[in-house]
Amino acid sequence: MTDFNQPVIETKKIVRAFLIALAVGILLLVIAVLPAEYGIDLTGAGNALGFSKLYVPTDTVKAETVASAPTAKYRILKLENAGSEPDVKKPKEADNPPPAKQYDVREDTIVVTLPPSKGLEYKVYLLKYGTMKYEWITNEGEVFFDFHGEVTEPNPPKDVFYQSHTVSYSNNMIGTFVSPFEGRHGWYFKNISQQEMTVKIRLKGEYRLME
Amino acid sequence: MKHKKIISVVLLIILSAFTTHLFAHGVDDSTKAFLLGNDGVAFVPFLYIGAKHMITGYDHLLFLVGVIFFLYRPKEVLIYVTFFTIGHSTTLLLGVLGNIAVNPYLIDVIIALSIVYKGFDNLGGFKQVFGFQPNTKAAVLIFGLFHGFGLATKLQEFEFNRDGLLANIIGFNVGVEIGQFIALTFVLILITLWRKHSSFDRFATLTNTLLMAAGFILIGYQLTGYFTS
Repeated sequence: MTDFNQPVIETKKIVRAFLIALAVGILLLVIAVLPAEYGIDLTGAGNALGFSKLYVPTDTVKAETVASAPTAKYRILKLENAGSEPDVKKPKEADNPPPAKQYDVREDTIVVTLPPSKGLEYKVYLLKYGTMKYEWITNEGEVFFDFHGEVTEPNPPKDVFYQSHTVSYSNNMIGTFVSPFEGRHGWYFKNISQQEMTVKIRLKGEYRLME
Repeated sequence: MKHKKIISVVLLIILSAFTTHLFAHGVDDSTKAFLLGNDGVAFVPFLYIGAKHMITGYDHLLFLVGVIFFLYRPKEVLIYVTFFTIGHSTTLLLGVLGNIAVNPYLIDVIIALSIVYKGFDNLGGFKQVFGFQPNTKAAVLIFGLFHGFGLATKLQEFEFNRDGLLANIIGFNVGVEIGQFIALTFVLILITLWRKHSSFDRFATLTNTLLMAAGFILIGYQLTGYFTS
């Protein structure tokens, strides 16, 4: 070609150059690039020379992304977020005296499935000063939750009074709960992820299950 | 002679500044955030992304180094670069507008192959070993088509809003040419300076061998990516 001013090289030299290029390419690929980029260390040289250290598994990157996300994803919770609106009056039944006898102690394990971005409630019934230990854990990731209780009243208004015992974000929680009034107590769990989640709840104490 | 050496060193430093953030066909996180959050016409940002992509995309650059390595006259450089530009612009536009999805790893394998091809071609390999010389302009055009598909698939991966798509793609394309022009300017100056030294002839074979080696590494890298993803 007239366009090019390349020198004429012997065929033998060209073939040799090609083979050297291939060998150098494969060598660098196997000892450096594959260990560093994909964590594939065929010869052990990647580990020995330190190229493998550069490899960051994709899963780790994902985990970091999740870990740094909370500031954006979790809204700041304030005192005003606890319980029903301030103008909802506390029903008089909340101040009823405790019963002479509590429910018999029982134990349960319940699994609640939360669809992506959806919230669900799980509640049990306790008498005043009834005590229970609880534990809950998600299968993966954190949920928003509102551990709260409602007073049993004959004709509950539309804006029902409820008290939040704890509101936060977590993947796991335990505690002992003493019911401040007779009624339904339990958790509102909100799945804040895009994947289906399950929450396993364990209870032990003086309560009865709801229908 | 001395001032030329100084210029060479300065140019090398400038070039190496670009190499700190090399990512073959990838688009970095902040660019990605922009692409995903964008809607409507954003000509200048897309132009910038295109230029940045070209300047930091080492596979395009290696191929271009191979193409202009033995081109001495500016007119020839212009002709070959024009063929390359026609090639990649065509498939970039067709690929994105026609929503043609090609596996990015396989495209990158072909782009890597184009580097090996050009290195081998520069050694006179086809003529000497196989006894015939494929048309070099056609080769640049055809590989340019594949480079364009590479650009298209990477841009498509982000599934950005299709409002103002045409204007944005043209912006990206113009950016690619600007980036290519900037990169070529540096490469041309360096190669022209180097040609004046006797070391150019001595190391020409070595350089093209290294070019092929780099191509082989990229082929292996992209093939592994294809089979592991």
